[in-house]
This record gives sequence, C-alpha cells and structure tokens, in this order.
Amino acid sequence: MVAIKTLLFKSAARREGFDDLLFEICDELQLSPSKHSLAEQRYHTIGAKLCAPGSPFAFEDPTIYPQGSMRLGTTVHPIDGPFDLDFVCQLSVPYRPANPMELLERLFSFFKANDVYKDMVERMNRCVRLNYADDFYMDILPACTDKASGETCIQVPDRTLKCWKGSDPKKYAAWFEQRSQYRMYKIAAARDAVQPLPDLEGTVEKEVLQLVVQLLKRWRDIFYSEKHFPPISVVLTTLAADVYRGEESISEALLNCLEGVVQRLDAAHVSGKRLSVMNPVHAGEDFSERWNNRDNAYREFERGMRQFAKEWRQLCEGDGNPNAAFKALFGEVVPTVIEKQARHTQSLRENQKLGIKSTGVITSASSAVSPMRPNTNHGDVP
Amino acid sequence: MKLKHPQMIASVERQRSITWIGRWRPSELSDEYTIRVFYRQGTRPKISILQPKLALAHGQEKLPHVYEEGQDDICVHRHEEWNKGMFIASTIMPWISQWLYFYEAWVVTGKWLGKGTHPSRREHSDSQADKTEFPRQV
Repeated sequence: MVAIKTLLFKSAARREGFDDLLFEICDELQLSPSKHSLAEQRYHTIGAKLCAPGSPFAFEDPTIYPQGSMRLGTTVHPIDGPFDLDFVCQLSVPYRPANPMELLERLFSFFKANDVYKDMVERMNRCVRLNYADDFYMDILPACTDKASGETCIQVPDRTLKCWKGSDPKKYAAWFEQRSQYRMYKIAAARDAVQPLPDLEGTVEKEVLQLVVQLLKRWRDIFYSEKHFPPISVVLTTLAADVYRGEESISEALLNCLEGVVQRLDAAHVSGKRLSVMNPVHAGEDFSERWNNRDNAYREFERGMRQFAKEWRQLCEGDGNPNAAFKALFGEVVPTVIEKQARHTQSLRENQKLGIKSTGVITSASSAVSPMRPNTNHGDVP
Repeated sequence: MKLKHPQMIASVERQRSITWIGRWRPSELSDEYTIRVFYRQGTRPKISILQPKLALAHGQEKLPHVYEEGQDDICVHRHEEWNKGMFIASTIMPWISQWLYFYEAWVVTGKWLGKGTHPSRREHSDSQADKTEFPRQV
C-alpha cells in the first residue's frame, strides 16, 4: 500500500499566495535598501574617524562592523521608535589587561569630543548609542580580541560592566548563513497570477530562514506587546536556525519551526528542565539565561509558541480569506501590504492588464478567459 | 456563460429573464462566494452575493458600492458602462471578481481601493435602461 503524504495546503496556489503575502510583509518590515546603505555609509565614516591620526584608538587598529539583525538580514521595524542597529567596535588588542569600563568611557568621550556626534551620542549600559533621529539608532559595542578562544572571538563589556563577556558575532553570522542552506524565496515573475509589486525596493529574493526569523520577531512584538519579558531576538533567531530543515516555502518553514520548538519544549518538560538556547558557536554562552530566575517569562514564551504553532497550522490547512488572521498575528503591517497590493491591482486594471479565470480568480489578461473592461464602482455612500 | 464559467447554473423564467447561480472567488486566497446574476429584459443585471454574509470593515455600518438591498444588489458599473449589446459573461463577471477583490481589501484596510463614484439614489433608476432583446448566452 502506498503511503499518501498529507498536504498541508489545500492547493499549491494557496501556499504560493500565503508565501507571497509573507514575503511582502517582511519586505515592508525590514530596513529598506536605502536606509541600509545609509547605515553602511555612516559606520564606514565612523570607522575611518576611529582610525585617523589623533583618534584615541589610532594605535589599536579599530574596525567597526554590524552584528545582530543588520548583519543577518533579519531587521524588523519596532512597533514604536526607529530601528535599533547593532555594531561592534573591535580593537586589535587582547582583552586582558584592558578594563571594559575604561574602554566604554573612552569610546563615549571620542564621540562627545566630535562636533558631528556630540549631540547625538548617549551612554548606554554596555554600549554607546548614536541617535540618527528619524532613521535609526546605532548601538556600538566596544570589544577586544580573545584569540586564545578562537580566531574571531571577542570580549565585550558584560551587563554589569564589572568584567568581560565572551562573544563571537562573526562566527554566529557564518553559522546562521550555513543553516539557511542558501534556500531563497522570491516572488516568481512567471506565475499565472497578478504581477508582483513593482516597488519592492530591489528586494526580490531573500533566504527563507531570514524571512522566518523576521516573522517570528514581528509576531513576538505583537503578541507580547502588553506583557512582560518577550523572548529576546537572539533566542528566536537561534531556535529558528537550529530547527530549520531547508524548506522552500516560507509558510511551511514557519510551521515546521514552530512545531519544532514545541517538540523541544515538550522534551524539556519531560526531563523536568526548561528549554535552553545555547550559543552554537561559543561554548557556555546561554542566550536563554534570562529565564533562569524568571519562571513566568519562560511560561509566557512556552504559551506563546504553542499558541502560534496551533494557529498557524489551522491557517495553513484551512480555507477562506486569511487577511484578518494575518492581521491578528502580524499587526498593522498586514493592512499596509494589502493596500499596496490592491493599489497595484487597480493600476493593472486601469492599464487593462487584468482578466479572470473560469473560477472568477483575477489573473493577467493573457491567461484569462475574459479580460476586464474599464468600469467604475457605483452605488450609495456607505 | 456555460463555456467560460461552467459552474454558473442557469434557470430561465418565462423567456423574459434568466438567473445564473454558482460559486465564485476573486483570488486563490479568497473565501468562496455563492453569487447570483439576474437579468430581465429592460433592466440592468442584478448581482447578488448570496453567501456568506459579508462582514463590514471596522467602524463601518454599511457595505460600500451597493444599491439598497446591500449584498443582494452590488454595484459594479455606472449606467453608461454597460448596455444590452454586451455579453454578461465577458463584461459583468470580471467586474464581480473585481468588486469582491476590493471588498476583501476594504474589510481589512477600511479603504475602497478600486475607485468609484457615489451618486444619489435617483440616478440608479432602472427605468432608464432601454427595452432590450434577450441577451445571447455565452
């Protein structure tokens, strides 16, 4: 007897519709290519100034590079406020005998003494923040090398500033990229459907894993908006990357990720411990340490994951218009994307590029059974 | 109609009017609707969304672009855009898809993005339509 694989979606067309919508949601949420270029320009400028003769770091060969979501390509616009972009300012000196507090002060003073930055710099707990008004924050973390632990290993000030903490953002980024298996998703141009948006700012394809992480982060921002202790991004990112199995469909990858996490939660439950999310490239670093003394935070994470997994499966397996459900999960970005899609459809209609299939489904005029002629919707004012 | 949209089942009444009922959806992600198109000599085609009951956008009390009977009589064109010479399958059916598509966008965004006009009710008088021949079926 032949085993029949149960399909998740009722049709391939529905899965593609979901995936395209998710792709456009992520495109709307992320740092636009123009802002990305601006951020790059700015940190290169800062790097040049740090190296210049007269800089307090001139003899320590500083380099500055992005880490976190900007490095991984998983930026998601916060619900309130501008993007928060993370950078490392790495000095080519070993961390012993340097003092983390002294290093942070020196970095802060460097910006404070500079006319360009003096009014936008702020001293944070373990980094220096440059506030670029409406564009983004740039959080710069000072670091020294730790070659004994690894080629790309660094040490950064820990949260208490009393000592150093090991990290390896470059190796983490390489791990993430390798986990993505370079599976890309792009809006397929040659599909028998209404043409893709013309104004995707040059983003036509991304790694499926990047998209899954963006969606998890956005869901987190919506789900936990009125609660305490939302799971931190590095926990979500690491879990997603660890569970990801190279799926090509964004919706299927997201479902497998959620159900994969639920399985791990179940396993942890059985062994009487909480789920641990360790840094895969830096031994001993526990990304989930904030759950140590906060049982309620862990419970909230668990509850959220289980609920999202269940809701997402129901949506994928179900029928009918998912717009309201998508909006409940991902927030106001959904109406924004629907509006953009509808405006685009309207302009195609005005240019007589649309028609319908026999089922009524709107499609490009070339593959239609009937083209759409010009008309105006009329009727009473609602 | 049968050739292009075989799911639309016709019933003819006394040689003066025809009704088609069938399943319809404007996109792969849409709900499936049951629609009815009613045409009687001398009047504009009347398009009804039989199922499901159409939800309203947040804060709205009425559906946009409908005549008095609401979803039982949706408006897809101005009077001058359709005439007796047009085949219903070729003209009206695509407009129904488009209405439903923009309706679904309206529910979630609160905006009707399909463009349209909002005249007073007087201009929708059915007596303005010509006496017509029975339309050819396709």
